[in-house]
Amino acid sequence: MQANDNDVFGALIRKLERLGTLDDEDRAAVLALPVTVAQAGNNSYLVRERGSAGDCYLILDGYACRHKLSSNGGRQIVSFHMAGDIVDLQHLLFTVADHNIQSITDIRFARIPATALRDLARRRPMVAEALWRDTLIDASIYREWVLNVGRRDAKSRIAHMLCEFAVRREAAGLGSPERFDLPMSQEQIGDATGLTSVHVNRMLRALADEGMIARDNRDVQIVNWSSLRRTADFDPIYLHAA
Amino acid sequence: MLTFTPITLDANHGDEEAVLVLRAERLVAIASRLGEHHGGAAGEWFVEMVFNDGLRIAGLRCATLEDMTTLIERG
Repeated sequence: MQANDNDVFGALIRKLERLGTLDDEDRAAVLALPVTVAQAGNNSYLVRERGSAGDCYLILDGYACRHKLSSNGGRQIVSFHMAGDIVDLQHLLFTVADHNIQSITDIRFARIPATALRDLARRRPMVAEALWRDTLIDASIYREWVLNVGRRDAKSRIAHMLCEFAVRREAAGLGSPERFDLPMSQEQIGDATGLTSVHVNRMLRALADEGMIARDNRDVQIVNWSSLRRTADFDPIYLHAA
Repeated sequence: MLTFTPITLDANHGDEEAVLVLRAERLVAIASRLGEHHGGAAGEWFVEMVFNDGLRIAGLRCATLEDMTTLIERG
């Protein structure tokens, strides 16, 4: 599929306009990008560590994660991504991937050549600023995740992950923060929070027992937002409204 | 030789049945038996904690205590 795909450019322009102010010439330049749409099944690798990185990916539907693997096979998920996210902007400037990007559901995405996006950023300063802001927000989210994994207890970590997912999902226009289907398995939540799937199950149960959430398998309803937010130590300032 | 001493965890997550795993009167690990709310893993033994950094079995699950003995002996 080629560049006349309206939903691709709609998603990309919406994303960039959440990050900065674009004028008509900026939007026209974005519309001229050579974009290819593709899809992949659950657990597909979009990017592999040590692989060459010539493209950037905009998620159109579905969810993905970034992760790194230790030499003994342990996996640390460092972020979850959803529709509207450009998952590897760092490949505008780096040619070798230093982490993996893998789908956690069936996924549809737009592939944008890094050279074209780099050229766009050089020609259109406001687009460059929006992309720069996106990478800074990514870094802010990483800092929060280090704090989450390193210094919060198990229940707070899970509560924090739920709060962030709900807020980011709403900001991306994917629906209410009050109720959603969690796309990630308990094992994946464990890999994102430094816990075993047994502990994840216990903590989700504890949050439900304490009246903060209600859940049926992956269907999660946030019943008491203020209590969940307090338990999570969640302050959305680090998301910078992304 | 490993021995398993039954204990009850003062836990609020429901997995209270547990064992102290001992070798020559030294505490090697603590394991709990997973309850019904763990679905397909219910009834398995879960290694809650290990006290020797070299023994990388924390967080693993075993169907039986015999399986856990094999795991620990293997290191």
